[in-house]
Amino acid sequence: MLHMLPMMLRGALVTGEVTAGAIVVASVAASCAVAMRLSTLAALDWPARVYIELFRGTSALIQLFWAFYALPLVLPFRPSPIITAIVVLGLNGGAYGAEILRGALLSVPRGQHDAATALNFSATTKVFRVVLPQAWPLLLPPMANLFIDMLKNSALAGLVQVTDITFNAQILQESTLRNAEVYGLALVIYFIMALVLAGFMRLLERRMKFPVGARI
Amino acid sequence: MMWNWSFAWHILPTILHGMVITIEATILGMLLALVLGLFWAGLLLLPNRWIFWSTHGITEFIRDTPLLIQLFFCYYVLPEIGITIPALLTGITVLGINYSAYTAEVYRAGLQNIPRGQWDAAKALNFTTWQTFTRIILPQAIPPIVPAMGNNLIAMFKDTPLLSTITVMEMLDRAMIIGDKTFRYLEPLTMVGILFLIISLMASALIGFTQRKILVRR
Amino acid sequence: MNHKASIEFANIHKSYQRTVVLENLNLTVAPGEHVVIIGPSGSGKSTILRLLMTLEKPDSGEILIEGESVWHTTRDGRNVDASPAHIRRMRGKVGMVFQHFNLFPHLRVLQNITEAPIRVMGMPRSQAVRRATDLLDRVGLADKAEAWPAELSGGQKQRVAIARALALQPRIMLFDEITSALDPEIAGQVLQLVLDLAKQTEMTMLFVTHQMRFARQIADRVLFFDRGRIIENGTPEQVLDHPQQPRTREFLNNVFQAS
Ligand SMILES: Nc1ncnc2c1ncn2[C@@H]1O[C@H](COP(=O)(O)OP(=O)(O)OP(=O)(O)O)[C@@H](O)[C@H]1O
Ligand SMILES: [Mg+2]
Repeated sequence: MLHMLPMMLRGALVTGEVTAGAIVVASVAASCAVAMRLSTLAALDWPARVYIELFRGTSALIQLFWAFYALPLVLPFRPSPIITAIVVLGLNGGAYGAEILRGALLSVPRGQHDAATALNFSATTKVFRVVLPQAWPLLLPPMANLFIDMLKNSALAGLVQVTDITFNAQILQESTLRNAEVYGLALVIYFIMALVLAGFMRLLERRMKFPVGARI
Repeated sequence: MMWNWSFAWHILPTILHGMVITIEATILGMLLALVLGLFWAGLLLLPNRWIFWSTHGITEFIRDTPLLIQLFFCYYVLPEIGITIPALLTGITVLGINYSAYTAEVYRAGLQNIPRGQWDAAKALNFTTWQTFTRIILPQAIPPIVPAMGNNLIAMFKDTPLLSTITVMEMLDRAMIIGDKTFRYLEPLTMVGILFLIISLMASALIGFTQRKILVRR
Repeated sequence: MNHKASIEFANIHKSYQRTVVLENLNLTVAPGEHVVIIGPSGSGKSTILRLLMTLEKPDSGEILIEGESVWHTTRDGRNVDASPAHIRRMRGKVGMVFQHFNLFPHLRVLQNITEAPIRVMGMPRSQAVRRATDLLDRVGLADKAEAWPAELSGGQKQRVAIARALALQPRIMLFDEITSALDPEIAGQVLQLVLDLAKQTEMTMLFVTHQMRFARQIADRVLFFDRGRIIENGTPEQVLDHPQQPRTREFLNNVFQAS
C-alpha cells in the first residue's frame, strides 16, 4: 500500500487545488448573486434567482458533464478540464452559498440598520462595519458545511480527466487490482482533508465570536 | 452544431426509461436511509459512551467522504468478499447508507426538541423505554422534521446520477451512452438536466407547502 | 431666537402598504424647543421621529430642517429629488435614541461611540476616544468602556446609546420611548439623565413617551396625537391638566389609571 501513497498524495494536491479554486469562484458568485437579489431592481433580482435555482435544481455531475461534453460544442474554445471543474463546481457551490449568505444577512435585525442610518453611516460602512460582522457568526457554521461538501464534490472532477485523488485511485485500481486498499486509502485521505478543513473553519469561528445578548 | 429537435424527440423514451430507474433508486435509497438513520439516532441516545463515540465516528466518516468513492469502494470490494449483487442494488445500498448519516442528524435534532418532561411523564406512567420512544417521543418528533427529510430526499435524488459511474443505467448513464454513440451530447445532457430541474423544483414546492401546513398546525 | 424653525413638517402623508399612518401633518418646532408627543399605541408617533431621522421617506409633503428641505433641492428653479449626499448632510443634523437601544453587539462600548465620529466625521481616533470617554463619564459609565453591550443592564445600554447619539453633536435629538423596555426604577435614572442633558444643551428635542411626570418636567410643549393627527397642542398645563378634547381626556384617564 505504501507504494500507492505518492501517487495518491499527488492527487490530493490536485483535489486541494480544485477545492480551493472552486471555493474562490463560489465566494465571488455567491456575493454577486446576493447583491443582485437584495437589490430592488427586478432586472438584477431575476437573473440571480435563475442562476441559483438552475444550479441547485440540477445535480453537480450533470452540470460538470454538460460543461465538459456539451458546452465545448457551442463554445469557440475548449477550456482545460481543471478550469472547467473549478468553474462548474464553484458555480454550483456559489448557488448554495448565496442562500446561506442571504439568510445570514437578512437575520441582522432592522434595529441595527436603523441605528447605522441614524448615525449617518455610508452604505459601505453600514455593510462592512455593522451588517457583515454580525452576519459572520451565523454564516460560518453553514459555510463550513458547504466547503466540506465542495471538497467531496471535487471528487467528480476525477470523472472529467482532472488528475485528482479519484482519478489516480481509478488508475491505481486498474493497474494493481487491489480494490479495497486503493479505495480505502482514497476514503481515508478525503476524510483527513475534511477534518483539516473543518478544524480550520472552527478556528475561524472561535476568532469571530463576540458575546451576544438577547436584545442589544 | 445546434439543437436538433427531432433527435431530442427520438431519444426521449430512452431517457424517460432511465428516469424510472433514477426514481426507483431514490425511493428505495431513502427508505433505507430513513430506517438506518433512526437506528443511528437511537444508538446516539443510549447512555453508553463507547456506543456513542463509535456511532458518531461512523456517521462522521460517512459524511466527510465523497459518495463517489464510497460507491467505487463497495462496487469493487463487495464481490471480493463474496457478495455479488446487481450494480443497482449496490448503488441503492450505498446511497441509503450515505444519507442515513444525514437523516440521523435530522432525527437527533427532532428528538432533542422534545422536552425532558415528556420522558419524565412517560416514566411516571410506567412505560418501558421502548414504549416511551415509539409511542410518546417519536410521534411528536416526526412531524416537525418532515421538511428536513424532504430536503434530504431531493439531495439524494440529485446524487443518483453518480450511480452511472458503477454501470447503473439511470438517466445520466443513458444520456452518456447516446452521446458516445452519436457524438451529440448537447441534447441528451440538456434534457436530463431539465428533467432533474423540473422534478426537484416541484419537490421543493411540495416541501414548502407541507412546511407551511405544519407551521400552521402548531 | 433664530427666525428659522428647527423642524417643519408641511402636509406630510405617510402610509405603509394599506395603512395610512400620517395624513396631512403640519408641525413646526422652534430651535431649542422640547416637544413631547403622547398618544395611543399605533397612532404614528414613532413614524414622525423615523421620518425626521430619514429612516422612512414621506409619500408626499415637505420636511424642513433648519429651513432646508430634506428630500428635495431646487435645480434650475425646479424642485427635484435631493442627492444622497444632500440627504446625508441633513441626516447629520439629527440624532436618535431607540426604544430597544440598538447598540452594535459586535463592538465594545467605547467602539460603539467612536465608530460614527471616526467613520462619518473623519475625526482622528485619539480625539474620538477622548470625546467618547468624556461622554461615558457624563452618562456615568466611565468604567464600562471596554465592556461588550451584552454585558450591560438595560439601563446601562440605554445610557451608552444616548452617549453614542451625542457623539455626533446633532442639532436635533429624537427619543422614542427610550425607557419603555426598562424597569421603573432604572427608567427614572435614565430620564433624570436626559433631564440634566436637556438643561445643559441647546439642542432641539423631540420625545415620544408614556411617562407623564417626565413630560411635565421636560416639555415646553405637548402634542396629543391620535390616528395620525394632532388632536391637542399646547403647554404641559394646557394639554395634561386642562385637555379640551374628549379623546385626550379619555387617553389621559387611561394612562393615569394604569400608573
Ligand atoms: N414597517 C411598517 N410596515 C407596515 N406598517 C407599519 C410599519 N411601521 C409602522 N406601521 C404601522 O403604522 C402605524 C403607526 O406606527 P407607529 O410605530 O408610528 O406607532 P406608535 O404611535 O409609535 O405606536 P407605539 O406607541 O406602539 O410605539 C401602526 O399601525 C403600525 O402598525
Ligand atoms: Mg412607537
